[in-house]
Amino acid sequence: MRRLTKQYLLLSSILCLGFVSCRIHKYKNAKNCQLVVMDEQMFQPVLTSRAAIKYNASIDVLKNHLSGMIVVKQTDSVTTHIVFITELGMKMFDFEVKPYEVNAVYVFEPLNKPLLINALKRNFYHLFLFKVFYTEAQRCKTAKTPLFYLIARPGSDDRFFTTDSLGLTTQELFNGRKKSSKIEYVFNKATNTYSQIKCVQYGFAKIKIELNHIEN
Amino acid sequence: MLKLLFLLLFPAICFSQTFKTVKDTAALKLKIENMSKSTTSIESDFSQEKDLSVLSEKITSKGHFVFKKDNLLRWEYSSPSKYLIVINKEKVTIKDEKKTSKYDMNSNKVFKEINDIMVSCVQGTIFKSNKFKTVYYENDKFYKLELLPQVKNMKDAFKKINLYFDKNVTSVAKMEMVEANDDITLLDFFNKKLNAPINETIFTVK
Repeated sequence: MRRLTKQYLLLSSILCLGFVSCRIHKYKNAKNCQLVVMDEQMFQPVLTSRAAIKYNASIDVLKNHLSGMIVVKQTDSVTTHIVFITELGMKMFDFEVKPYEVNAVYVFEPLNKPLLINALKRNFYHLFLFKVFYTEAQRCKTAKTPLFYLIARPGSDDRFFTTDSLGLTTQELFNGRKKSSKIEYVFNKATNTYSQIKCVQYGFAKIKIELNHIEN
Repeated sequence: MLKLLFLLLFPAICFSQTFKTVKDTAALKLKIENMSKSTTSIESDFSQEKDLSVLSEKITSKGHFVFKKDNLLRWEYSSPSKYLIVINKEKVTIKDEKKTSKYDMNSNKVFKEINDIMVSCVQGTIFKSNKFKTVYYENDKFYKLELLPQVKNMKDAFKKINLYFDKNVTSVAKMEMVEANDDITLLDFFNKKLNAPINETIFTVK
């Protein structure tokens, strides 16, 4: 019985490892990569104007569930604010995004845990596609994936973007061989906006963010 | 020079004409207490306007609330998203578009605090709380109670809360919450029904 359990565990581990490796290696062995500069022809940015963009938002962190509204607005030529308020009107956080930094201008005290805030700052920065356009990227293909773009910078997660005929569908982030986050985009051609954005951060502190665009 | 002086003083003159301090605060307190005692239920629509100062952006929500004495409250948003809070004595249920969560108020200090504020604001009895210092104002249309937080956690959340009563002091007409960073949440109550019969099943969420 004990031997069977051991064999079962070993088999499960191999299967898990194989499964994880497959996921990690989805973008490996890319062929015919070309150096390109990312622009709006490749896929549409999420933030397209200086007017405020609003989303119904739900955020799940560990066992906590928060819901409300995310408002994103560019306040000057280099600054964008990402503000989360609950339905009751209580502000949970206000992040200020500058070209190379994200600062927490305000955080509701019970939420103010450095690990959590850093994770939220990182995920919102990525999902709203900051530092993507007008930067260098590799445009590649593999046997397993259609066309994708890779932005790799020293000291940052590698960002892989996959697209379809409508535009951006996923952004996956890898820290070395380990997938750290996956962000899925649903583009609505009729409104010319991303109607839904879902983000999952893997690892010890799992975070799920779901944004649904509110039409003005 | 006279023009300049007028321009400088004009806002102050306007403000002083808008609201002045109430002289007989004891009489006003008595009116509010009587209102609270004679009110057994309130049903009302509301609009909520959140003014985010940094973004110079207003966010409007709409909904409906029902209160029944002593501690039954159903606070429901219908737009821009559906969101429901039901307080049934010691139990709090929150239902959004994805999830329903239930909490015991006694085991959660934050909910106890939120419940106390919501219920006492709806009833207008928040001025009795030792967590606020109250200043009383009036103009032709309203009495205004300016509630200034006196305890740390309240001070962190709010600079002040303004409660507006109609001049007959029948119910709270609107409520304004000013946060430390000057963001304002304004709640306006309309289509009010006072002391109408309320079926208590609406305070149970399945």
